Amino acid sequence: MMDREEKVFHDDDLYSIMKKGKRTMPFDDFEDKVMDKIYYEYAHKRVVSNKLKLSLIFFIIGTVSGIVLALLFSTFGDPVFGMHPKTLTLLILFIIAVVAIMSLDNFLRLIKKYSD
Amino acid sequence: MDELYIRKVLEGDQEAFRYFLKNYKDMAFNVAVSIVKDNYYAEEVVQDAFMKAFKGLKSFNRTAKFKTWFYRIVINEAFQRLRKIKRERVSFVPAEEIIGLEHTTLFELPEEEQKHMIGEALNMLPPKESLVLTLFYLEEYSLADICNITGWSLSNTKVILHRARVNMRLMFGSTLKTSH
Repeated sequence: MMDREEKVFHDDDLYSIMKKGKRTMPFDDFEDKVMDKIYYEYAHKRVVSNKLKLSLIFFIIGTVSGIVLALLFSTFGDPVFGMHPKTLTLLILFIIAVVAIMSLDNFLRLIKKYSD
Repeated sequence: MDELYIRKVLEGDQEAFRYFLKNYKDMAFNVAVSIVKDNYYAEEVVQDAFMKAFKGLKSFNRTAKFKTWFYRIVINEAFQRLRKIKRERVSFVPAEEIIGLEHTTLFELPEEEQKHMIGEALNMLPPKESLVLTLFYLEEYSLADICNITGWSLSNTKVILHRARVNMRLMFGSTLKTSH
């Protein structure tokens, strides 16, 4: 039901003009173009999603290997590459932490974007 | 009906999205072209809006109306596009062919010509004015719905609608007087 405020704007002429001037989508292939984009988007999403899973696996493998390697170095008694094993361990762990934090942020953003 | 197709799309039936294309493309085009004033830009805007709707369907609040939600996307896309193209708005000056209507009656013209004249007149109006005319007189949305879709305040919507009516009357004034 039309309230009082709307009644002020009630205008038969304008209703009639606007109805007569109603435009239709002038491009016949519009629906197909959008559907093609949707199919492409869906396929693209699946490919990216699969690659994302794979890269996550390698990321975990890399991180675990790095930590194991760092812990292994810490058991050495002699200096490695001219560095004390504990210093080397700390350096490796620091690098792993920085890379992990940076990658994790990107991962989370991509997962959010491409999650089904 | 919308609800059924939303569910289908969310269950992975992408073809079900064609239902929304069939039902909303024309009205979305009307809304978009009233803002960007160009058929090609309007088509791009509507395409982008449909893609956004498809991607965002999961986050769509099902208690709301799909149509209102979708029009909001179309309007946002259209205004974004308008900013991008930085198309210079022609200030409101009634075109020769429309002034010419003083000697005749719009409604006496052939249908295609009427449509063309009305389209030209809407193209001359500022985007907000032609949009509000489309939403109020063509889509028959209430003022409250228009505020909801556009994000404008009620007083602002009323001012824009009033100006739009005055401008339309300036263009079609004598025509409208003789039509009744």
